[in-house]
Amino acid sequence: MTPAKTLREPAEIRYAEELSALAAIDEAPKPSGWNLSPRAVRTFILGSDGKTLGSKSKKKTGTVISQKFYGDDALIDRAIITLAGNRGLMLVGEPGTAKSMLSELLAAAISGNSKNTIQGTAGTTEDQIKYSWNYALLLSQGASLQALVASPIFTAMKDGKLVRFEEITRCPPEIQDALVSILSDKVLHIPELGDETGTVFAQKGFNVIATANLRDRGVHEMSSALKRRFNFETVEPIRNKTLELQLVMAQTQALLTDAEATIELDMNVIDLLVTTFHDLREGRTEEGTIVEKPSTVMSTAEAVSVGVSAGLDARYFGNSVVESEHIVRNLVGTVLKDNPEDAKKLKHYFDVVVKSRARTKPEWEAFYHARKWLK
Amino acid sequence: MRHSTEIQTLLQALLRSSEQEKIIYFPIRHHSPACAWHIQQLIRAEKPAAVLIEGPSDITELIPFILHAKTRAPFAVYTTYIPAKVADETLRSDPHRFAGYYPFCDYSPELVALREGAKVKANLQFIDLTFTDQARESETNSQIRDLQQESYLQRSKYISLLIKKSGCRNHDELWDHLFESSFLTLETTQFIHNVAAYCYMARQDSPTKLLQSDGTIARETAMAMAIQAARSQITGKILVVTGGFHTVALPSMVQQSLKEPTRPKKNPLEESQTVLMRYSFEQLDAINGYAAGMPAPEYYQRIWQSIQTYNSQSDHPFLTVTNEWLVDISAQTRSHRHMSGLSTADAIAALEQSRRLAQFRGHPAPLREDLLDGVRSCFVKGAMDADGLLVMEFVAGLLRGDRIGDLPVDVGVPPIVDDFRKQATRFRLQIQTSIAKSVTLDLYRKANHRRISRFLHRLQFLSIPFGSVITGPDFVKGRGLDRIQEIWEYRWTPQTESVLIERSLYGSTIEEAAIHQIQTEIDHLEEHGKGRSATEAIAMVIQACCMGMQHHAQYILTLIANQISEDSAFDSLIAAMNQLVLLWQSREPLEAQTLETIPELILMLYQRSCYLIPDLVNSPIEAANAILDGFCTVRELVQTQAQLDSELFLSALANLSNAASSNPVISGGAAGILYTSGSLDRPQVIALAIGYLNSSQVRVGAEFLRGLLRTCREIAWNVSELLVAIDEQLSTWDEASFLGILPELRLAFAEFTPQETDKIAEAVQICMAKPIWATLITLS
Repeated sequence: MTPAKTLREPAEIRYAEELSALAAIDEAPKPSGWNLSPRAVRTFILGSDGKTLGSKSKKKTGTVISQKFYGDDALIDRAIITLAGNRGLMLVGEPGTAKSMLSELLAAAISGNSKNTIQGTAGTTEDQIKYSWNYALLLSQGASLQALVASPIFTAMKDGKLVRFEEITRCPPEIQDALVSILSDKVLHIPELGDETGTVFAQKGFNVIATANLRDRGVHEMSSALKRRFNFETVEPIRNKTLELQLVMAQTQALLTDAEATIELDMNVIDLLVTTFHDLREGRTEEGTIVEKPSTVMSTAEAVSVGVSAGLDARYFGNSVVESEHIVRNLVGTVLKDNPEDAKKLKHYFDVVVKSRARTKPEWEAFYHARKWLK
Repeated sequence: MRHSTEIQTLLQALLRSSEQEKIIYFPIRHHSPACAWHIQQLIRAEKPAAVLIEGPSDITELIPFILHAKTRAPFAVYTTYIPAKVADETLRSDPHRFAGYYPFCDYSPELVALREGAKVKANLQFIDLTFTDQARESETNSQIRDLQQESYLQRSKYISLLIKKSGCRNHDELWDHLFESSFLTLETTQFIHNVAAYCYMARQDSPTKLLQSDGTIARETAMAMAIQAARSQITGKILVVTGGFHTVALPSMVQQSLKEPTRPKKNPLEESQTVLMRYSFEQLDAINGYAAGMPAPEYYQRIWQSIQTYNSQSDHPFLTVTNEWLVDISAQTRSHRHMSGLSTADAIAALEQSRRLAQFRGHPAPLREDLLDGVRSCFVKGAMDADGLLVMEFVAGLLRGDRIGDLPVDVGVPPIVDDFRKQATRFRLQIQTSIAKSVTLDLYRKANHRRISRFLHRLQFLSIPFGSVITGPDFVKGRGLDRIQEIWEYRWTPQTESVLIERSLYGSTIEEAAIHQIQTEIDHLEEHGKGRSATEAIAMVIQACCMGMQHHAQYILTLIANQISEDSAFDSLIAAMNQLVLLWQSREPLEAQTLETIPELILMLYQRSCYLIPDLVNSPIEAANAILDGFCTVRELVQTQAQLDSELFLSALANLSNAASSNPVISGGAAGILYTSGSLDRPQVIALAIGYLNSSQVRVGAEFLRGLLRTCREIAWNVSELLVAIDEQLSTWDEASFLGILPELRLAFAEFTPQETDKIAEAVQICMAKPIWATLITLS
C-alpha cells in the first residue's frame, strides 16, 4: 500500500504513533482481548491535554496525544466501560455528530483494527452478518471452513475483536435481529459444518459498536429484543461556539492542505460560517432572535464541508482568499438539500438576522451583500 | 511551592489544636454525609464539652425545638430582616426585604453535631453573625438567599481546573469523587486534613477585598471571637463545625487578639425574626432552582441510613444503595403509565455498568454520578433528547424524593400567617372580625392602592379564601379596561389562616408562596408549552403583573419567545401581538414598564408573522376575513411602532401577491395594502385588478375585488380606471353568470358606509352614467 495515494487511511494507521506510544507506557489493567487499558483508550480519544506521555516506571515517550473527540467526556467513560461488558454499544444522534468517527477510534484503540465493519444498508442480508459460501469451493469440497466466507462479525468473534456495524437502522428489522442471539449467546452456529467445527464461540474481547440514526428518512425501527442487548449513548452536536469555531477552522485547514489547495483562511469569515450554522441549528441567535430551523441537519461536519468547498471555490475560481461570498455560494448546496421550505428559512435568516448585524459589523455587511447568491 | 508550606502550617495548626490545645476545627461541606459521619465518630470519641456551629447566633435559642422529639427533618431555619424605613417613606415601594434559609436534613453535619453533642451533654451554640448583621455587612442585594451557599467554591479557578482534570462534570461530582467515595476507610484526622487542604486551595482564588465587601471577614471575625470566648469559659474540648471555606481562616484568627467592631444599634423600626419552618426535599433539591439546595436529597438520605447500619462485614453503603435504587427504578418504571418497563436484566446490567464505571474512575463503590451513568447507559433505549429525557426526569424525581419535615406545635405561628397579619394591618384591612367589608382602589393614581390590589390578587391566586373583585378592569381577559377603579369585597374567616398554614410550606411570606405557585405554573407551561398558544402565556404575564411579580412576568416572556418560534398560525400570532401591544399600553397600572423585552417580543412576533405571510396564499377562503384583518392590524402597528421594519412586511406581501394564488381574496387584500403603502403604483394595481377580473372563472375577479376593497376602501372612489374596468367586465357577463356572481360582488361593496357609497356613486357618475352600475350601488 502506498499511503500517499490513499484518500483516507483508517484510524489505526493515521494514529499509529500515538497508539504505540500509549501501548508502551500502559500499565493499567486491561480486559482480556484488549490492546490497551480502558484508561489508555480514554486518553487516546480525549487527548493528553497537551502533555507528553509518560509513566512512573518508564521513560517519557515524547508523544503528545491529540484530542479527537470534543464534547461529553463522561460519554466516553460510559462507552468504554460498556464495551468491556456484556452489552453492545449503540451510538445514536443526528448525522454529522461524529458517531462513526468515535466508533472507528474505539475500535482502533481497543482492537487495533477499525476495518472490521459492516456497512448497513437496506440491501444488507443475513449472509453479510453471519457467513456465506465460496460456491466453487463448496461444490468441489463440500462444506468446510475453507469454503466459508467469513463475515466481519464471524472474524471478530473468532479473534476476540470489536466489530463495527454502521447505520444499523438502515437495515430492515428482520436483518438487524440476526444480531439478537449472537449478542446474548455469544456463539454462532454453522449447521452445515456439523457439531465440532460448526460452533464458533466468541473469544474474550469481542463486542459490537453500532451506530444508528433514529430520526432520518429511510430508517427502520429497532426491535425491543435488540435494544435490550445494547447500551444507548447519544452523541450531541457541539454546543460551545468557540470550540466549534476552532474545530471548523482546524479541520477545514487540514482538509484543504490534504487537497493540495493552499488557502488563506480568515478567522472572521469562518466565524460567519460557524455563527450561521450555530444560529440555524439552535433556532435562536446570540441576540435572542428566534429563527426557523431548517430541516437539513446543520452539523459541525457540514460546516467543515462548506468551509472546504468555499476554499476550493476561492482557490480555483477566485484569488485564493476565502471571502463571505464564497461561503454564501457554498452554503446554498448544504442548507438547501431537498426541502424547498429551507430556502425560505435561509432567506428569512438573511433578511432578519444578517441584515440587522450588517448595520454594525462590516464583515456581516459583506455577508449580507452576498445574499444575491441565495437565489 | 509557597502554598505547600502554608498548607503544612495550616494542617499542623488544625492537628495541634486537636492534640495539644483543646480546640478541634472541623471543616464541612453542608449536606455532606461523609462530613456528618466523621463528626458523629469524632463527637462519640472525643466527647467535647462544647460544640460551636456556623449559623446565625440567634438559632441557639431554637436548639430545644430542633432537638425536640417530635421534630422531623427536613426543616429549615428561616430568618428575615427588614431595614427601618426611610423617614419620608410614603409607602411608595415595598420595603427592601432580606430573607435567608438554613435547611437541615438528617445527614446535615450541623444537625448531626447538634444531636450527637446533646447526647454527650455538650454546650451547643451557633456562632455566626445574626442574619440582620450579615445583611448589614454585605453589600450584595439578593433578597432571598441560601445561608449555606458555596458560591466561593463554585467560582474558584482551582476547583474548575480540578473538575476538568479529574473528568468530573461539576462541583457536586468533584466533591463526591474526592470525599464521599473514600471517607469510610479514612481516619477522621486525615479526612479533616483533606477537606481543609481542598478548601485552602479554593480560598486562594478569593481576593480579600471581595471577602471584605461581602461580609465574609466580618462573619469570620465574629466566629473567631465566639471561639475565644468559649475557650476562656469552657473547660474541656471544644469542637468547631464550620464550612470548610471559613475553617481554614479561623485558627490563625483565634490566635490574634480581636476587637469587637462597632455595630449600629438596633433600630426600633427595623424588623427581624428567626423561626423554624417545615421544609421539603423538593425545595432542597438544587435542580429545582430553589435558593437553598443540593442535588438528590433522597439519595443521600438513603446513603446516610445505610452508613448508620454499616459494619465491616456488610457491603459498601454506596453499593448497597446503588443496588436498591436500580432495582427500585426499574420496578417503578413497570408501574409507570408512559414508560416502557425495564426488566430485572436491565437492572443487573445497570448495576454492572455502574460498578465498572466506579472502578474505572477509582471509586470503591458507585457514587451518585456512576449510578446515573449506569442509568444513562442501560435504562435509556433511544436518543437522550427523546426517550432519555423521560427516563432521566423520572429518575431525578425519585432521587429527589418527597419527604416533608415536621415541627412540634409549640414552635409558634408560621411566618406566612404573621406576614399576612402584618400586611393586612399595614393596608388597614379589617381582620379582627369576620364581617364582609369592601375596599375601592384607585389603580391609576395611587401607588398604595396598587399595592393593596396586588396583595389581594396574590391571595386570590393562592386560592386563599379572603377577597374577591366586584368590579374593575380585567387586564387578563381584556374586559372593562375603561374602568380606573377596582372594587374588592373581603372577609376574614378562620379558614383564611388555616389555608395560609397549608401554604406555609411553599414560602414564609405570601410573596414567596405566590412565587412558588407561579413557578409551578411556569414549569407546567414549559412542559406542555407546545400544545398551548402564546395567548395563554401572555395572559399569565398579565396575571403576574397584577400580582406585582414583574420579574416572573419577564421570565414567562422569554418562554413565550420559544412558543412564537413554534407557532405557525398567523392569526394567533397577530392576536398575541395585539395582546402584547395592549399590555404595553396599559403598562402604567400594571407597572409593566420594567418588562423591557415586550417591544422586542412584538418585533419577534412581527418578524415571524411576516415570515408566514407568503404561505397564506393557500389558506381556505373562509379564513380570508380574519387574515385580512390581521394584515390591517399589522399595517397599523407598522405605522405606530417605529421599531418595526415595514420593508419586511411589504416584501412578504409582494411575494404573496406574486405567487400563483388559490385564494384571490387574500391576493386582493395584499394588493390593497401594497397600493396604500405606495409599493404598487396606480397602473400596476389597475393591471393586477384587470387581470383578475378577466379571469376565466367569474368568481375569482369578484373575490379579488372583495379583498382589495377590504384593505383599501378609498380605491373605489379615487381610482376611476378601476370602475371602468369593473364596468367593462360587467357588460361581458350574461344574465346567468351575473346572478351567480352577484352575492360575492355585493359582499365586496357591503362594508361601505352610506357616505362612502355616495362618493362611489359620484365617481361612477363622473366617469360614466350607466344604469346597471347605479342598480348595483342601490343593491348594496
